[in-house]
Formats: sequence, structure tokens, C-alpha cells
Amino acid sequence: MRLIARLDIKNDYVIKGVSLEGLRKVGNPFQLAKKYYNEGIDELIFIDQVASLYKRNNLFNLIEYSSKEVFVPLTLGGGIRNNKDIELAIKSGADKVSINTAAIEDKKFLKKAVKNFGSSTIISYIETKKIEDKWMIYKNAGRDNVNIELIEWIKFVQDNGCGEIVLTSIDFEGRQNGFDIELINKVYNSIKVPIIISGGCSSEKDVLYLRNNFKNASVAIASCLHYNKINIKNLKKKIDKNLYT
Amino acid sequence: MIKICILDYGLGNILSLRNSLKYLGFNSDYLSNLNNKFNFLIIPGVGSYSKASKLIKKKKYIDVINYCRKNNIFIFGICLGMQLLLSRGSEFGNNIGLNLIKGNVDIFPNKRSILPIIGWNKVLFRKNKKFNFLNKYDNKKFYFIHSYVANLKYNENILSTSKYDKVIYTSAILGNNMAGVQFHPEKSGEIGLNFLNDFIRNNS
Repeated sequence: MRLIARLDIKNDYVIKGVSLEGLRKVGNPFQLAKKYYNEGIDELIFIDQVASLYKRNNLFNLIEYSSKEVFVPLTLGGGIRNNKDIELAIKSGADKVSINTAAIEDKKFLKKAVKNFGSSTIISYIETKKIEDKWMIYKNAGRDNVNIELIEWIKFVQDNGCGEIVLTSIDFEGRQNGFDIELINKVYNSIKVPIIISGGCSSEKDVLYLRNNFKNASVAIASCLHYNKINIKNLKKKIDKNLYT
Repeated sequence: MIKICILDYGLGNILSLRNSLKYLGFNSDYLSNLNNKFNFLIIPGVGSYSKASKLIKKKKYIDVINYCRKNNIFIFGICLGMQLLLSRGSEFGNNIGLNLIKGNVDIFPNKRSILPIIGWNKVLFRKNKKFNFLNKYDNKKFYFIHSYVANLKYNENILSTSKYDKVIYTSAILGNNMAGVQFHPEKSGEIGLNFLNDFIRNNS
């Protein structure tokens, strides 16, 4: 299991909301990235929270100076709309990009991106919410229901060659009330690539529960790190015990 | 003085590699900016073998590799760069590598495994007199991201092994004045940086 720090960024600040809304400033992205790296984080994901809305990503500079001092994999997400954006991300020092809105709006984009940059560079970023009995896909940072069912979408992104999936439960995001286990149970067996669970982590316990029950799951955590509820070093020690590999 | 050449044949995040070398205090540059004035060559790479094996066959790259062979300059491959040192890769058809170390690159053998392999796995280094400095990295974890693995013709070319889903596979290889690692030392935190530092200083 990989322990991944998720930094949601708006106007040069790491922000944190609840269910991707009501955003609050929590710190400087570069300082936080360095802090989590020094504490032993496995990877970092930077997400531009307003990029899709304004059709551009503003984090290329941040990635560029982060990659000078942070030597673990860096993923850039938010507003990645074409091959040029991916190329710029990689040239700025990103190892991977995560794609959501653009993959929904142009059904050929994911496949093209995988062909050009390799599946290990392309992460499918998925935001989902339960509407009545069905899990539905959202775009633009949880704003718009696009009328696609989750299971159908997971099949699509895997068939198109994405190397990883980040799965965010919109309703659980930022609530620090535990991961959305119902959601994970629902989709876990249909996922054939590494999966990163995001949204809801409240403590070490939640992470260890996933680690013990879902062999293929990694976690992306935000609030628990920003509000010092999880100590990266201690948690990694616990994850390492009883390694399944 | 050590001067490192990064073979920028056009695939993957080479800025991170350059940054890590800079951070370690090495003088490095891309081939495009150098004029055969270096004493350590790194072949990086992330992406597809078929694409990479075509790109690297361009005359200017083959010339550089021949230059290294002639002048005893150490060649170090990382990830896809390591795989390119081998004879052949089977991703998207049959692709010929640099054939500097005998072996093939094939999909990870356990059909039911989750691929790509992504994450931090232990590396078990084999005892090797010339590479004694690797002892301190034995059993330490490095960052991996790959779906294809090296299958070597000769056991003597195996520098390390790792385990994923109960399958043991070659995670670092060794040849005459060359080596390669499947993992990314430049993305493996403090331990990876130390490894990179030791490896370059002991082979240049």
C-alpha cells in the first residue's frame, strides 16, 4: 500500500473543503510538499481545484520547483485537456498526470494519451456520488453529474489503458468520517489496475483497515495530514508490518 | 571530475533525474548539449519499449553508445533505460533492443497480477566484489513502476531480484562496464539518492 499526500490547490494555496465545497486555506503547497516528503510520504498528487472550470492548469511552476527538492513520484491533476498539457506537465517534472473532465468530454483522449505517454503516466481520476441506488460519475471537481454509471466508466478507462485509478467519494470527501467502504466493496473486484482511494480518511485506523481488507488499494489523504491527525512515519511502520508482497 | 551525460532520446520525465543529480552535486547535462565530454552515461526512460527501441536506434545515440564502449565509460540504465540494454522486448510486437546484455523483456508472468507494478518493493542485491558498496542497500525498498520484466539469458548478469505477487524477478542487471535498475532511484526518496550517489561515484 502506498501512502499518498493529496494537495488540492486554488490560487497558490493548498485548500481543503468538505465534499469538494466550502474551501479553506490550509497552507503553502511547496512547503507542505517538502514537509510530507521529509516525513516519508510515498507520493504526492497536486490537484488544481479550479483548473477544469477555467480550462487551464496553473500548477506547472509548482511542479517545476517541487521536483527540485522532492524525490518521490509527483502527479499533476486538474485541467489536463490535451497531449500538449501532458507534455508540459512532464517537462515541468511531473511523473504522471491525472485526468477526469477531459476524458469524459472527449472519449478518445485517454487512449491517445496512453499511446503517447505510456499507461504508467496516465491516471484516471474519478469522482463519484450515490444518486438513489446508482453510483454516478461527476466532472469539474464534483460539480456536474455527467450521467455515466461508475461501473461502466471504470471499464471504459481500463479498456483505454489507464495505469491507475484514483477513486474519490464526493459525499465522504473532507468529512473525516472514514473511507466509503460501501463504494469500495461495490467496485473493488472490477478494478484490474492499482487503485488509490480518496476521501474521508479520519485516522490511522481507516488506512490500516483498507490495507488489511483490500490488497490492491493505496490511499490519498489530505485533511488528516494538513490537520496533523496522522504521523506519516508511524503509519508507514504499521503498514509495513505483515507486508503481503 | 565526474561529468554525467543523460541520453535524452525523447521519453519520460528526465527533469527529475537531472534535478536529483544536481541535488547530489553532480555536473550533468543532456546529450543534446554535450559534445562527448563526459565520463558516465545514463539512459533514462518511462513508456513503451516499442517506441523507445525505435527512438534509440537513431545514429547519434548509437554513436554515443559505441563511444562509451570504446572509451570505457560506464553506462547506467534506469527502468525502460535498463530494459533497452537487453536484446529484445515483446511489448506491441517484437522489438530489438541494444543487445548489450543478453536477455528479453516480457510482460510480468503472473497473468492474474494487478499491473502495472506500482510502489515500493524490496531489492535483494547479489554479492558482487566490484559492487561491494551495494551491501548497505540490500533488502531496502525502492520505487517501481513497470509491467514488463527482464528475463536474462545468463544468471551472472543478475545484480538484484525483487518479489511481486509471489513471483521473483530480476530488478537490476549487470554487464561489462554497464548496469541497469528496474526501479527509479531518482524517485525513491533519501535512500534512492544515496544509491544513485554511490553508484555513480563507484563507476566513473
